[in-house]
Parts: sequence; structure tokens; C-alpha cells
Amino acid sequence: MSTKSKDNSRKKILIIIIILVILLVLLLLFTTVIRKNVNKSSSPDEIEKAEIETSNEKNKQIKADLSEKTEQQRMEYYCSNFFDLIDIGNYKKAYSLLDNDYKENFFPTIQNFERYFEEYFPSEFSLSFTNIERLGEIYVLMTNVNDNVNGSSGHNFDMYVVLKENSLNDYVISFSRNSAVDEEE
Amino acid sequence: MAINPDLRLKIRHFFRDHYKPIVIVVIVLLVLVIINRFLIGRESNGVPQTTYTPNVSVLDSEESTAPDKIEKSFEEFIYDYVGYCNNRNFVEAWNLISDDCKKNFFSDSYDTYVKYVKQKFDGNTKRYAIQNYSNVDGKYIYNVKIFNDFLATGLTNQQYTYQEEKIIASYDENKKVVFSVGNYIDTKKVNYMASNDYLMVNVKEVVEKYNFSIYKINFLNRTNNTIVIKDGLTGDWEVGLAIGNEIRSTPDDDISIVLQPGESKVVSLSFEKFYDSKTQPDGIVLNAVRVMDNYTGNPDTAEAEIEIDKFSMTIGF
Repeated sequence: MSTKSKDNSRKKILIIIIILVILLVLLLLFTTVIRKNVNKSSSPDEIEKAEIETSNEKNKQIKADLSEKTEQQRMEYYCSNFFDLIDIGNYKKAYSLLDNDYKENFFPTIQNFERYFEEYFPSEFSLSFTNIERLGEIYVLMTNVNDNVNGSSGHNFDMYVVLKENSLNDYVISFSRNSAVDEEE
Repeated sequence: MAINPDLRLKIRHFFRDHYKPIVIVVIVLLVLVIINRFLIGRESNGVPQTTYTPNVSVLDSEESTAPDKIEKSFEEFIYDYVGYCNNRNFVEAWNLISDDCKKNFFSDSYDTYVKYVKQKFDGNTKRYAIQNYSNVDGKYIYNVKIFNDFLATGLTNQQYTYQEEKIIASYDENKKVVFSVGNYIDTKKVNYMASNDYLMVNVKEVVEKYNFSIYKINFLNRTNNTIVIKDGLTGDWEVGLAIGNEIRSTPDDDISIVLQPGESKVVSLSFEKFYDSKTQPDGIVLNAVRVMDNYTGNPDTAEAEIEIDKFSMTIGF
């Protein structure tokens, strides 16, 4: 076979590969544009679906992070996560994390729950954990609630936080309701 | 469009000439895909890793676990038992306990059991946590913590406290799994004897609790005098359990053992001993047996008492 013919064949192969690459790039661009357009013109249901998908992705990432943590670190994370929800005013989500019996006993309605935090908790607070105990599948965190605005002269108190982990990033929680009340009174 | 046969040939040659790197690339891609799938599967698993292993013994130096049958039976038992006690259904709870435990620990008295169980189950709903503690001689000892439903209360107006007891699973003579509560393990008939001209001692039975052994001892006074084995007036220990290099005196301070002339008496004495301890007791030591005349047991009238003889005695096992 002549050198010229060999070169031609290689050129053809190269052209085919280049065409394939261009096709792939076009396909990627096309799917991206389509996805963007779909998002732009999506109905509320679709938006909700997209939000759920994003939330699922986030949850998956949190689970992956939690799977690397020790039990104590996970419990502290859950506890912080719960009180962060209170801090940012997401009472609905925080309320949904309460143990059902605890809810019935102390906060039968979300309004009770919201009022309690507004009335008895410092407007800005941070948590520190002094000890953790495990009783089977129940964890008890001994927690200090620190008043970030007024410091040591403010409304600081100790509180029990009780947790049960169902699976990663799936837990129920309760806390010693009157710890904040007693100190306040 | 038909492909140029020459070009087709070239492609075939190209793959034939470079099949090795192509195969390697394909294998690498496959491995990456498999690893990716595995990691995705692991992520979605969501099972938290904990250090809680309720069926792995915490005390045994070599890791030991209860057999599957015991493990399953125990979990079913404790679920039902605590459930019945929470619902104040003490009859059903009583029915779950072994006949041996009923007979030798509760003296076959349901009322005694109810009195005992009501101290633990005070009317508040309780939860439990189990932990296999040690496995010795076919006795599977579980440490059971019983506590208020902290999750339902958040420990509001409560302190973090719990009650603890050993509950033991074992096989009976019919290979049925049976359970004993209140730290009770079992009762053994024994026959350890020692005697001299004054006294005959016969250890007839040992009741094993997890942290105590209770010995039922028959004392017989062979004299016409009073024999004092234990009255707390000697200023020294009077009855002890020889175990290893030590003597453990009985904590039953309120029990006095005084035998009138010719009297025979059965006394139960308890000594601290963990059931899973490797060191076994060697015997019971009576350290200051006194043969007395005019014994009153009152230190104020001690001058009138006459000590005829004094000796110590060991009932070896």
C-alpha cells in the first residue's frame, strides 16, 4: 500500500473521530439548553419536583458526610441542626422533628412551640455540649444554651436534649422544656 | 451510504493493531463504573454506624456473643416483659419468669414479685436498653437498664437516672430458653460439712445472684452450753468467705447466730461475689466461735458470762 493511501485512511479515521466528538459536544449542548428551557417554562409542580431533587441531592451529601462521623459528632450535628432551624425561624421543620409523644405532652400545636421559643429562649444563642450518654438507641446530650447578646449576665442555662437516630439524617428529638422556663422565672 | 471497503479495512486494522490499549481502557472504564455504582449504593444505604452491640459481651476478655437463639429469645422476652410491666399486667410478666427464679428468688409468692416489680415500674412508662454482659457456664447475663421514656419527656423536670439489673437467659433441662430477673442466677444443692465436739455445720444450698452468693447453713449445737458464732461483740470479723487470698465478711450485720444447748438452726448468709469472677471461694470461716455459760448477749452484763472455750472453724468447699 502506498504512503499516500495510508495517510488518506488515517485522515478519514481522524475525521470520523472529530465528527464523533463534535456530535457528542452538540448533544451535550442540546440537552443543557433543553433542560434550561424546561426549567424556565416549568409549572409549580415541576418547580417543586426540581426543589425536591435538589433537596434529595443535598440530603445525600449530608448523609455521606454524616456516615464519616462518630455517634457523638452526629448527635451534636442533629442537635445543632434542630436549633439552627429555630434560629432561622423555620419552626415548621423543627416542629416536625419532635418526638410525637413529646409533642403531645408539651407542644400540642406549632403555635405553642413557636411561642415557647420566642418567650423563653435568648434572641441569639449558641450551644455547647458538656456530655453525652447513650441508653440503647436513645442519646442524651447535656447542653449549655448561651445568650450571645447579653453574655454571662444574660439568659444562660443547662438543658437536656434527647435524640433517637432512625437512620442517617433521620432523627427525632426532645428537650427538657422547663430548663429555659425555670431559669427565666 | 456504503462505507468505502478500504476504509472499513483500515478501521479493522486500526483496532487489531491497537487492541491492547483499547481493552485496557475498556476495563478501566468498567472498573470505574462498578466502583461508582458501589459508592452510590453505599451512600443510599443510610444505616448509621454505632458502637452499640447489645449482644456482644462487654466483660469477657475474648469477644463472646450469645447464640442466635438466646439473642432472639432475649430480645422478645425483654420487649414483652417491659411491655407487660408498663401496662401493669404483672400476671403476664410473672408468667415469663423461670420456675426456678419464682421458687428460689420470690419463694413462689406472686405478691412478693409484685412488690419487687412495682419498685422498678412506678407507673411511668419505661424504656429499656440491653447489653450482653458476660456468658459463663451456659448463663447468658444481660445488663438491663430501665428508665423513664426520656424521648417523650425530654427529661423535663427529671434527672438523668436509670435502674439497672442483670437478667439471665439460660436453657432449662428441656432445652427451652428461660429467664430470671432481679440479678438471680440459680440455686445449687451442696453438702459441705465440718464438725468438732461442740458444733456441726452443714452448708446445704447456695443461691447465686449476680453480685452475691447466699449460703443456707445448718448449725447444730452439740453441747449443753450456749454457742455464739456471730453476735457482733468480739470486735473482730466473725463469719467470712475465704476467696483467693482474702476473707470477705458477710454484710448481714443484723443477723446474729447464737445456738442454745442442743439447738439446730438454719441461717442464710450472703457474701459479695461476682458470678463471672474467675476466683472461686474456698470455704466459709467461722472466726470466733465461743462456747459460753450464762450468755446474755448484753455487754453490760458480760461479767457474769463465762467463756468455756473459743475456736475457729473452716467449712471447706
